[in-house]
Amino acid sequence: MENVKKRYQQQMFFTSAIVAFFILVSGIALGMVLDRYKVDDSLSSLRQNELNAESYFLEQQLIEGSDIDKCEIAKPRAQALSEELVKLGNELSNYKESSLFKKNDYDYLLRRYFLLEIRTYSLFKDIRSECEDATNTIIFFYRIDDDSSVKQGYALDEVVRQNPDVSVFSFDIDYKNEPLISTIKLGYDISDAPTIIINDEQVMQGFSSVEKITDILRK
Amino acid sequence: MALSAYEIIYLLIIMFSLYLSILWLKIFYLDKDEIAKALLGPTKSKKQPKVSIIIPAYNEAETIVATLNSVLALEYPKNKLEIIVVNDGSTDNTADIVQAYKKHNIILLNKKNGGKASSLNIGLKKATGELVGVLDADSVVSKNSLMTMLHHFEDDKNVGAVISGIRTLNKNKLIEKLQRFEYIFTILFRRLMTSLDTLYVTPGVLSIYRKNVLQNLGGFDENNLTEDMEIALRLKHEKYLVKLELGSITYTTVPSTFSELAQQRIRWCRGHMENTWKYKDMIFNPDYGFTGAFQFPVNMISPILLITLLFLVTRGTIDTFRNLFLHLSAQGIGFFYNIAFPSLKHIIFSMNIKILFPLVLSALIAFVMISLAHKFTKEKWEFPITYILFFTIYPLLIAWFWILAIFQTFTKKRPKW
Repeated sequence: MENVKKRYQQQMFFTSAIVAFFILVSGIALGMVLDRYKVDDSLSSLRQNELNAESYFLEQQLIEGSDIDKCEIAKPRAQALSEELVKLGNELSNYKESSLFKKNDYDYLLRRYFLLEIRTYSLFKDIRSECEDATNTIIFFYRIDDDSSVKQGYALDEVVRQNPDVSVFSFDIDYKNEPLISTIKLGYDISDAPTIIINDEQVMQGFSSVEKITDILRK
Repeated sequence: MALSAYEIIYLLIIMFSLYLSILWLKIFYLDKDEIAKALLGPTKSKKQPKVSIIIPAYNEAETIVATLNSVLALEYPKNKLEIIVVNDGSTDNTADIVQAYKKHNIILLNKKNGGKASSLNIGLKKATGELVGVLDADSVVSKNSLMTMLHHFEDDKNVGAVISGIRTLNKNKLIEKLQRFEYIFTILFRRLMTSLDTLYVTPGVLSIYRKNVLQNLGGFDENNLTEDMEIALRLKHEKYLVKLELGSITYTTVPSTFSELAQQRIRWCRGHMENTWKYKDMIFNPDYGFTGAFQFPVNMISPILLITLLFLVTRGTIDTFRNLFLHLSAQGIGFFYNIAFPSLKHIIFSMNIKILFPLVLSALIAFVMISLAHKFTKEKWEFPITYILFFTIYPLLIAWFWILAIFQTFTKKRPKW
């Protein structure tokens, strides 16, 4: 009886390890399933935003030459697009922290997101050239895991809260998979992060406080 | 698959904890009938051999009266019970207090201060019983605690020592409540270790030994920080069994301040390291059964993982506060306007499932173990906040004690009792 008990005890070490390993693998598998949902969800948001941008462009083409005030329609739509983009950007960065995203999936989403940002930014540029009292734009180049960039991001959140007509377009300064970002960097001679460009004119390298940015926007 | 180094380390710690939890649970279910038997009514010994109880005492004037009264109240034939108090050079009136108990045939031996182990050895030389018990002078025993332990010596001639299930006397302050919970948990774990024959300590709160075995082994090691662990390992090294009797209930006074606790635990950690090194030939050695093949490796890995966990948690806490500082310094008063409660979708999508899933299951198993520990020690569920602190903050505290113990060992600092 003692020998049976001892043999069973020896088996228990092995079966306990199997059960623990199974639970671990199940956790990883569940994580991968959740990642799949995250990717699908982000893709769905991205597609929706791309459609909204496409719809805006077509609308602008349709009302070209008509009596309809382009600026009256353009400004709120562009603002709505910008807000949706910010939401999507936050989702992407949050999910990246906790996900098992395959690198390719995440890179693909990120690249599409940056392109959509650039497209939306170009809409804002058009609005500024054609409309008075246009919305303000800030391009923000950040570096991942850089404290100054994190701080700048928080400062820009506060700037937007105080000035709801400001739209911020954020780009990873080290992102290599989209040549357009490198073009923008070259155009504004950007070498380090954080860097912000206010209304295509004012380029500020290093951290810029809420007060400093707000002063420039008021001018 | 994107797993960061930190995630891998967290998963290793969780996996180790999960493995042990599952294993102990399986051991419990294998032996639950035997364990339940102890609850129905402890087994009393058929024979009643003479037992000598040695009580080493150093400045125990405040507590020794309760100890002596409890020993005198033991349900055991008075002519078969020998009580020896060894006064280890006390500077208070411990000796005078014990002297007043001479009419109860309590033997008082006075010696120069030399430590607990030397006191026990003096007592061992004087003892005339077939069995020898050790009882700290700040502990009390229940009436049937001795009677219930002795059957193990009859049941199996290989049993070298039997220990009791220790509870805490004091449970007012938070630090005492945490230890109360720890001791409840420890009783269950020691009983499970008995099932596996891996019990490796004979605490000073009523442990009973075969006197001839103790004498043949040379008595207690007077140069050891934790002579109770050392003698148990020596017994196991010589292939004797050490068992816990669930039906034997004893109580001890636990440290009631943080510094007292730190002093005690650092000494225990240092003793642990010292004795692991002393008996290193048992590590991974199947000749010593599960003690060598399983318990020793677990005892070595556990502090390493605890310390690693402490570093990870510290790093995470520093990152959180750093982020908070950046947030506040960037936004000033606007910080409070920017606080937004995340949506349910956001919360779910932000979860790190691969860490959370095994962690939650580990917590569930821990809850089952807590319930079993309370059931089998017949202790009430008290102070719920203690349980949360025990599984979150307390392990980090123990990790700190380990770090201090390692530091003191390498700097050869003198230990404090």
